[in-house]
Amino acid sequence: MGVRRALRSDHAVGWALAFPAVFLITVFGLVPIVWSFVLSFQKTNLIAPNPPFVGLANYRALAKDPVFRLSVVHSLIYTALFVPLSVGGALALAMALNRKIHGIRLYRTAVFVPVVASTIATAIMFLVLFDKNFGLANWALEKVGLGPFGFFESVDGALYSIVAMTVWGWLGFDVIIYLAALQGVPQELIEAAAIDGAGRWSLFRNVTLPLLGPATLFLVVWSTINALQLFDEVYFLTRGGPLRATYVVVYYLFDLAFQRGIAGYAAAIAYVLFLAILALTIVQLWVGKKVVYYSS
Amino acid sequence: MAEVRFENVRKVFPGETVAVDEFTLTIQDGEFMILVGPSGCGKTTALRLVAGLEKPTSGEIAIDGRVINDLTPRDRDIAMVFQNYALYPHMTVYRNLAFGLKQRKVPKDQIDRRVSEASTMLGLDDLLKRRPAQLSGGQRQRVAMGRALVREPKAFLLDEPLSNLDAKLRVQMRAELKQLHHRLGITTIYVTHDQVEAMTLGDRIAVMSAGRLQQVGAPQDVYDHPVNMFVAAFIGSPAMNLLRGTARDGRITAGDLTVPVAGVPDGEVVLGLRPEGLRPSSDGQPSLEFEVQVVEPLGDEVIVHGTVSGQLAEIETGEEKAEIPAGLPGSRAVITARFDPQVRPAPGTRMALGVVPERVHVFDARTGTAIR
Repeated sequence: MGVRRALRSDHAVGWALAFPAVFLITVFGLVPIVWSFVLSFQKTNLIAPNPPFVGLANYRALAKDPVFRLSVVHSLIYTALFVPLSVGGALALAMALNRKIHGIRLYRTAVFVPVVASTIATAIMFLVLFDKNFGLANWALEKVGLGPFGFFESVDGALYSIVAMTVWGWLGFDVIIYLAALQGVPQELIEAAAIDGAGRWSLFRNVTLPLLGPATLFLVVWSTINALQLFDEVYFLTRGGPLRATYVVVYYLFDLAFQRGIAGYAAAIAYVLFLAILALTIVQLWVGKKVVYYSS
Repeated sequence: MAEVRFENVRKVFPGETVAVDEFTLTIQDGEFMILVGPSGCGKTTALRLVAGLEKPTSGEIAIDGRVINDLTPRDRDIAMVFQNYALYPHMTVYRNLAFGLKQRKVPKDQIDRRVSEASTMLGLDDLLKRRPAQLSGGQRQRVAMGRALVREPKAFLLDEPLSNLDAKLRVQMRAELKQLHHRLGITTIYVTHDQVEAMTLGDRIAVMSAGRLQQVGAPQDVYDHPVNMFVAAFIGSPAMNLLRGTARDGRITAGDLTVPVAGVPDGEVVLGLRPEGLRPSSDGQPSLEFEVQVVEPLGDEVIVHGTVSGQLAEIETGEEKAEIPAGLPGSRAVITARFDPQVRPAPGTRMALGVVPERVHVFDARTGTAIR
């Protein structure tokens, strides 16, 4: 086939059009995935040439690393709080916002604003809000005879403060998903249930909630993945502190790879995290298949 | 079982849409009442008012003499079958049937018994473990009926329950519904716009138009003695032919037809002729010259459309009307006749259509009310 003919064929044009996307995905997606997999079997700081292969040593070391274990515990606590609080809170808010009241558009917009606000802006706002000496939160707590709390500065409270901030930041997204799903609940089913004698709770429990199943499953899976990858907020607010109280898996990984130059070991953490998330997601989808009703 | 009574009920929706107006009607204990009318006439709203899904703007709705305006649907003890069934899609047939009883804290063994009774009655025994999506239209319809049945409510409300079924199934379900009502004798209010359902199912029919009750009565009575032009034009298929005419000295003239009718005051009138009242003329009968246009043989009868000299009386029934063929002179009107199957005139032929004076309906041209 001549060059001319090749250039004129649809095939070549197609590749040319797809090239920018393919190039970016390859360079910033596929290459790092493969490269970090290789790294996880090396002892490397990313700079020194010819890093030695160490086999599964990095993975074996993880099992005995107390800081890794601590990070995993923190990540699990964070996920166990973030997922139910954000999904459950969003459901409650969406139910409240799914009605025809005056100014409803304003309320809906207000709920969504934190999602579009940048993490840094949100972080700075929460730093001020949760400030030990001048924060509004402590001022309010003092009014009722509590506090002052250290929030981000306290070993006991820092992780929970990050939970509060991220739940607040992501709630709007979940609310929008639920509001959309609520539009899909046929009015007739609600009327049929009312005639069948269902009260408000029973209506919610037996009709609305089951029909929101697909949305709930999506949000739980998505929030879990998100929560296990927590990094930005920790980096901006606490840098893992105080006293490693907010060391989570991805922050530890970052700390190892980019602050201490222990990249091979960090890559092993990345792969363990990936496998853990994959396994958890498969379990969630499997359970979801059993309990969630899909209309189509 | 119960008596349902509307007393001067009015329902106005936001935007000043009057859906139901000055509606007074009593449905007797155990009666099968049909609410019929064109779409938008307020029949479904009237039904929803009984269910408690809408609140009347004014007036009273009572069940067994007790005013229920302020009761929630739950406390009214009525059951409703929705047009598209509104089955809970995530529940099995069994749970769909049992749901209402569970809500009312009926003991488990009783629920089982009542569900199995209803499912046997409706032939649903083999489907109890299926979900609505796995059922055919007819089966879903039965589940919807079953859900109403198991509750043993004071009254059944049915909102066009057969309209989503194909023609054959509709005939079958119609018969089953009638039988079921006969067997259970529960007060039933049935909303439809279907002529046949209206004529065949009910003890009485209530014809509605623009939110108002036009006429209540036994189906045959309403058919034979419509109180106004709306009812005359709405009940019956094909519809009654309505021709403008003039009454003078005990005779009515419409186009080339002259009919003797006693007791009609002189003035402008509308003559109502049922299609089956028009026959190929025999000698001496009042008749009108009919030019055949379209012939529809239906097997057991022949519907013939054609033109006569005269002018149609327009009445808004909300039904779709056939377009008047282009080029038709203003002095001619399209009417419909219904013949025995052996009579099959060719399109284009002219024939004399005989009219039996006793079967002619006469309406006041101005008010539309029946004169006789």
